[in-house]
Amino acid sequence: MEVEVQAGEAGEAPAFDLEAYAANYSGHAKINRLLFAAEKSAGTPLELEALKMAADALRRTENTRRYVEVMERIGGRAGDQYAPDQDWVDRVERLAAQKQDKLENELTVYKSNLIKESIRMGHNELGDFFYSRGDLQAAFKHYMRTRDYCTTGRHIVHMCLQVVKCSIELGNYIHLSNYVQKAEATPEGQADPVVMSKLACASGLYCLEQGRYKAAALKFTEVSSELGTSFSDVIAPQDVAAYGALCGMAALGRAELSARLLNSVAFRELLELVPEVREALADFYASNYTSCLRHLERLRPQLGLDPHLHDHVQPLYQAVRNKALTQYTAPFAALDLNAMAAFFNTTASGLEKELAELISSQQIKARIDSHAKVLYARKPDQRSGTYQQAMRAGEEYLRNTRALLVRASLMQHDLIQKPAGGGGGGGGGGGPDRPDRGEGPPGRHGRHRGDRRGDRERGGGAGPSEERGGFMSGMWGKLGAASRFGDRD
Amino acid sequence: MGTLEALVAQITALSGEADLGQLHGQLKSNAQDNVMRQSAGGLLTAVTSLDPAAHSLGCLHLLEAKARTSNAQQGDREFLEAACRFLPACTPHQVHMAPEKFAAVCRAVKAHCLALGLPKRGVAPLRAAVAKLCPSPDHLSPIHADFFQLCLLSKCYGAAASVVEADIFLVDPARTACTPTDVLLYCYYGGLIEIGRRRYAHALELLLTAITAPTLVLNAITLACLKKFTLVSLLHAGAVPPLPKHTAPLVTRAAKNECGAAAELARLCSQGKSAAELAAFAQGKQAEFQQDGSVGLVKLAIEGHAKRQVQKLTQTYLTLSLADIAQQAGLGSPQEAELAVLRMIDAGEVHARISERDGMVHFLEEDEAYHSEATTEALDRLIGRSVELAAKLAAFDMAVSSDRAYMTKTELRSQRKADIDQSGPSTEPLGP
Repeated sequence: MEVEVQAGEAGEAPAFDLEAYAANYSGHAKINRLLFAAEKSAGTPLELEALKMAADALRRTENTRRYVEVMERIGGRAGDQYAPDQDWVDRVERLAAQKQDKLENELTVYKSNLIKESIRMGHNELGDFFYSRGDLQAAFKHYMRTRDYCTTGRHIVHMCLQVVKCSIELGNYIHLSNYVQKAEATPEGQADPVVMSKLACASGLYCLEQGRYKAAALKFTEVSSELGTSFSDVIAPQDVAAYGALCGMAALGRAELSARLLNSVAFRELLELVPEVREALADFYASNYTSCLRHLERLRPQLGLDPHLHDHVQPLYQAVRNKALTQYTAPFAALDLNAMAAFFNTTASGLEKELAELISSQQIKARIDSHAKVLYARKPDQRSGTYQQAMRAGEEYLRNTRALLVRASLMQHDLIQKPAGGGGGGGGGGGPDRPDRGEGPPGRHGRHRGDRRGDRERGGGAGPSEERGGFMSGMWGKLGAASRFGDRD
Repeated sequence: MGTLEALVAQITALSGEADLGQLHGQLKSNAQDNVMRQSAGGLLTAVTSLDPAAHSLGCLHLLEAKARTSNAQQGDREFLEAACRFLPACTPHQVHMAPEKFAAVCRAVKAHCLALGLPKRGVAPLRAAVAKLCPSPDHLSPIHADFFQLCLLSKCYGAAASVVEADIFLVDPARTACTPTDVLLYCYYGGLIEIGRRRYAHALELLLTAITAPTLVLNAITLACLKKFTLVSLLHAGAVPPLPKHTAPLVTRAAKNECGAAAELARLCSQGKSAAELAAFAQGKQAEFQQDGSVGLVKLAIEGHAKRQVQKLTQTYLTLSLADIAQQAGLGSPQEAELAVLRMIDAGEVHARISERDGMVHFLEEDEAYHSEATTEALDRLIGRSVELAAKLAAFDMAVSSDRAYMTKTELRSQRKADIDQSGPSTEPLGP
């Protein structure tokens, strides 16, 4: 989506400018995004281009395993220039092995000296080393270990950010929210807008991943424009704007949308980076749904290449569309479906189906005249509704209370089906074996084997009826208490 | 000592109000029991010689002795006639002295009716018997279930109306000789009768009572109730509500394991499958449903499902072509849809008009506006019943909290609690 910077400016051509796209990122994010794009566009020229650029980027890192993988995927399709360079691989691996030895030795020395700061640095360096080698699990482990040696808030923030970075890349979102919270709690983190922005990005991604679009939108709007390119090895500010705007359109109400996205200075600055999204958002707010949906449709192929968003494009678009439909119908008493279909760039019958779905899920209060193709708004008759509800509530009360009384009576007289030897027979016709029915209070008779268990059941059974009001539950409590006593005397 | 004549003479002599207790003791004794058993052949003659109203207790014992000796498999018409004469005529407070005997006689009546293939013969006497044995209409007696069973078999659903509509609140084994099985049977047969009378809401209530009855063992009746409950819920509401939390865990588990076919049908319905698909499924499970005797219910449930689909459309559309209805409600063709809608309009299940000219259906808004006198009356009735029930509840609460045994127990419990607090918990906490 970040490409529309160029795509938008260069006219309407939706050509995907991979170079510009990749330029928004650095480090792992660049490589990951290129590889993801290659995967999604397998079989097109774009794939090869993406792979070539990924290979170039990988040459500048120490991630040899990834390099070999990419080379295999290129498979000689890109000419000699992109033939696997075994020498380089060997050299880098040798150097890396040496470096790892060195770092590990150093760490052992630090540990024996028991200097906290040095140990922290040692772990940190090892973490950085593994991170650059692409061994995220090991990097994650080392970053986690620095935790015990953090002495200042800055250290904690640094540790948390590293862990967050690794967990986003690993897709391991369980740790993420923990560490985001931890970092947010430090005064040093709170003082630094860039750190807070980074953390907001991370939580936004977490919410997005879970499909909690509203929470995601709110998080992304917390990001300040000072973020710049400082987090570009994870997320670009363009992404923040696009994710935030899409989630906002899908999940936020109009008031929130205007306050959080359109009138927020910080977010507006971010939006400037992605004109197409900005246009879509502005059109959406101005109820100019035709052009809004057109903009979104043009964005779709690019969003599909985004590793964080691709799964959510469909539900988000659907939600935006549903909201557009709902908002469009809201002010009308009667609405011509043909005109509306043209507005939403669809056919009348297609629109009818969409509307029918929205009506049956109660998002729109209207009825369709399928013959004349008109949508009539429907005012809910509150009076009838209230009557209906009252009657239903009354009947429910009667039903529940009757059931309660019968059950209470059954328990009072110990009329409980018991295993053979205990009470009334298990099957068909009434068995001749009647339970002991002395003229005593509940729970006094029936001292057979099953009794203890029975009482426990009754104790448990008394629980749910508490919903039926305090007075009844009080009664149940007493009942339970009375019958419970049976197993103790 | 002891011949039947002497016994009859004794009954005649001791049937005064004051002597009933003595007579009851006499009749219960083993000696008299032996007499009755030995002279089984003459028992019925003896019964006919006594006045059923004045000598109810005596008659009851004689009849019960006869019931024990006669063979219920073959059926004994003479006994049946004698009992049927006795039941409507007997005096309630006399038979209340021996509820077990009374219940046994009624059960024998039912058995003989079934054996002779005359379920109708027993309906009226048993209805009378229900009224005689129960101290109040709130009480449940074992006769309820037998009565319902006869009504079901003779298809006299109407005859059971007054009994099944009277809500029961009390089971008092001391006064009506009720057993847990009787309760379940009452619910099951009552549920079936209400299904027959198309009063599904009440049927569900009865079935649910059986399902949630406290139990320690799984019962075949409970299982049958579960299956019917699933199907009737589908038919009545279109979905199966979850079982209440106070259902015995045993039963909840059984609901998952044992009611496969019905639950599967419910699942398919909730997925919005078309009627044709549901019918195909039901066809596949025909044997299973047949075994449960619920083929008819399944058919009704499927029909209801299609109707519900159409009703849903009325919420969404003002007009819709028959072809679209057929497609959306999963009915085969526009003609079929037309027929279905026509039937529904007839039954008042949907407010609509069909336009023959262009094959369109116009759905109208519901005309129930709650303006009518009937509404007020219905509300009034509902409130009245709620107040009545609340009074019952309060009385029950009062009875429990002023129960002497209960009070001593709570007293003891608080003492015990104090002990436990000192010595650490020894019993598991059972907070309700």
